[in-house]
Amino acid sequence: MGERFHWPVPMWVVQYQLLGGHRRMGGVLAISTAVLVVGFAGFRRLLLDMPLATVAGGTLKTLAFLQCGGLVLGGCGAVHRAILRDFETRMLESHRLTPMSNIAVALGYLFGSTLQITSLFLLVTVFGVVLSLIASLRVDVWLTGSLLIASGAAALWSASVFVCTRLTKPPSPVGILVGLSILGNVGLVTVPGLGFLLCAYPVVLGCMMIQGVPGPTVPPAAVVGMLVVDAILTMFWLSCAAAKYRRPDLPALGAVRGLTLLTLWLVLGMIGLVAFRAVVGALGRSSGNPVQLDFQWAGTLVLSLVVMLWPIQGAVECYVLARRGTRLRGKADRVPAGVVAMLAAALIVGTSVLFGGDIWAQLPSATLSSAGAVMAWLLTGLAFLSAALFAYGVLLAAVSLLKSPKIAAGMVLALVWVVVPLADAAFAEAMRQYPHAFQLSVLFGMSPVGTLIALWMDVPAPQLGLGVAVQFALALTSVLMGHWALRRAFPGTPGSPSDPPTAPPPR
Amino acid sequence: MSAIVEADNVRVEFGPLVAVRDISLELLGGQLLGLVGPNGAGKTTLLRVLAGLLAPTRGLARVLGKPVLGEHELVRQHIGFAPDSPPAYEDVTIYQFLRFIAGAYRLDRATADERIDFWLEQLWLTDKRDTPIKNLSRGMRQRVTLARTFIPQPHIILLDEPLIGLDPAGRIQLRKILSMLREQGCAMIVSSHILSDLEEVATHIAIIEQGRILRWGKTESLQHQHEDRRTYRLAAIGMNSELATAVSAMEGTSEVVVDGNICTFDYLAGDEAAAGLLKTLVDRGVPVASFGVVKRTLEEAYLRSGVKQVD
Repeated sequence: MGERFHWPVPMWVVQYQLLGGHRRMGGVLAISTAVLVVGFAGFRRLLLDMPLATVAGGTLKTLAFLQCGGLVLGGCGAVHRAILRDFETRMLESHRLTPMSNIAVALGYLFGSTLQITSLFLLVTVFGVVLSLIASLRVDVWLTGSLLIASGAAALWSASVFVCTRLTKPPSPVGILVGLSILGNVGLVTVPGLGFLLCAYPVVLGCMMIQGVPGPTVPPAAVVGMLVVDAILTMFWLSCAAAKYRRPDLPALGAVRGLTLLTLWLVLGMIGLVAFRAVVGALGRSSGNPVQLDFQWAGTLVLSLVVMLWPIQGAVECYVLARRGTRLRGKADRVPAGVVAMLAAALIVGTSVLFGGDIWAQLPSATLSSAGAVMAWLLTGLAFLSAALFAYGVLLAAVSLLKSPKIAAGMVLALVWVVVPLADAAFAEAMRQYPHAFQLSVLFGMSPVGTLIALWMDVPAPQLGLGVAVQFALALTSVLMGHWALRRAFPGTPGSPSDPPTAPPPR
Repeated sequence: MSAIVEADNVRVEFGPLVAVRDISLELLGGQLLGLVGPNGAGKTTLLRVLAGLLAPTRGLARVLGKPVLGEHELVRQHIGFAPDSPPAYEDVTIYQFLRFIAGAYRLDRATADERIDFWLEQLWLTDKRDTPIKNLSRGMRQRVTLARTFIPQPHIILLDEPLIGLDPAGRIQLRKILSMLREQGCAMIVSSHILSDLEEVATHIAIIEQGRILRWGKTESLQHQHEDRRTYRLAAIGMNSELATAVSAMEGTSEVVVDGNICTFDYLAGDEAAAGLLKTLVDRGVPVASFGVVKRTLEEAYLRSGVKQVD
């Protein structure tokens, strides 16, 4: 019998009680209302010479920061505090003993621990509506902006529940969030899809809307699309958190969830590339900067290599645990890791060819001239396949033999994938002063990152075919070594005891 | 009658450390297994595996025939586990906390209140019902944990050091509760260092050391297991100084101690040997008033089991 869903009412009630119950909530709301009213009255008094509408409009801009910062950072902090408290009081474990379903507990943290923050957000939203009316501004813009912030925040809270649900002390997601928001901002130009995956766009757009920052008109379909994306991400992270909560010893991002994340990333990556051009076009700037498009396309593909590692790593961990004799969650955890690696590569190439056609067809790369496109995609596919198999082999060996496999495997992958082409490029750059010496060597194409850059950014790396062949040889060697390591670590058949079992006591 | 709780070759490894070594056990309803052993023997780890809180490296734990580690909410409905350090929300009252637990087990309000009242009374917490948990002593918190464990009326109860922190009266009360639950058909596993308490309630005892069960069996049989000699107690009418001479004269007796007309001594174990000895004594004219085996305490049995103490 599987788990049936029940609303996590007991979790919400106890979280509410832990937040102080009616008395505290009433007090917080009363004080906040007083602060808002007094604050506005203070502004009005200071700026008596200005019209009331202008003062109200200015106050709205200040409230935008409260809406945004309070909801995103405050909410993630509240989730962290609740899970940390339950971890320290061992209540997290106590919940695990109860028949509450995994998803109910995750939902309990998601909306229970953030009750106070949500109430404040609603209060500020109502206050914003009043101020919008006073300032004769469009109420629907304020409400849409707030809704976008709320949807982005919910997805980030959900991710926080996932980050905090673990066997060890939960880390604060606020720090991670700040790092990710910086990454999201960088991604806005370099890898546009990243902004969607990190929920940066809806929050930033919502903030811009409620602040009245002039920008391109966002069609309602785009707003709905962003809300849908956030809802999907909220459910996805919630499902990961639920899986991790019940079995913290198993990877949450196993074969199925890992491949789902990869699919989400690829789809959002393609949408990001299209949306970026549309936004740039709407702003009246040149949308056809080929260098930028080259960079964004290659960046999206290279980042896919990183996202691809999650499903492969999850599948490898499950594979090794199963070999050791550990009971897994179900069929989804038993998908062979090698198959997951090949599926991941196929997914990246398939999605890019099918859904990214409009984008890569615009690339001015010389490799795409007429017959070159087929060859470019063939080499790209082979590079992704060899990269996936190489990662599979390295992770298999690391997980089988090492205590900290992620660090070691990450270092090997970074060395082969990034350091090799980087070193080759650096050497070529250093030799630039000599005539005829500035050229990349075959070494550049021996890494999937080098191959992708050479193919899609028109970088003149020689003998890419040979480079990809070397990648394959490396991948096969890595797979063989991985299996050797697995056999070395777990020589017996799965589940065979190494000590004689203790006989059961008499009945 | 099928086992309510079973462990099938359960092995737990924490890196190079093997905490539980391929342990198998079965427990029926109405049985209470006392788990004893030195610190670090693997008792808590085994209990956590049986409670479904820890995935074994190998092997399987089942409750009511279903794997504990899975998505079976029915299984979790039937397991009650009280860990050694009581989990509780500090900032809520005992009643609020227990209401939350009852809600988590999907008990309706009336049933929840009825059971909460019953267990608060059984565990002498009725007066503290509306006291915040942060204001309670260690022993009180232990009682709240026990109430939390018993309220869902589980079929399998796993208690890790439940007697720690309880005062003598509380220990006696808990023993009564455990006996009551055992008679109601619950299968229970209790780990404890207080062997005298376990002796009174446990139907079975398992001595666990370095992750493996060193000795196991029914409580009475374990007390005398693997002993080739036992201590006997003999009372004779009208014999004092002659009694020691008469017993010492018997072949195979040793450690003879006489106190008035009562004599204790060591002799070969086994019913046949004891019957033969008694017959010989009677044949030699010793006026036997009573004769029996002196029961060893569980503590003595534990110390004689050869467990390596790491404490």
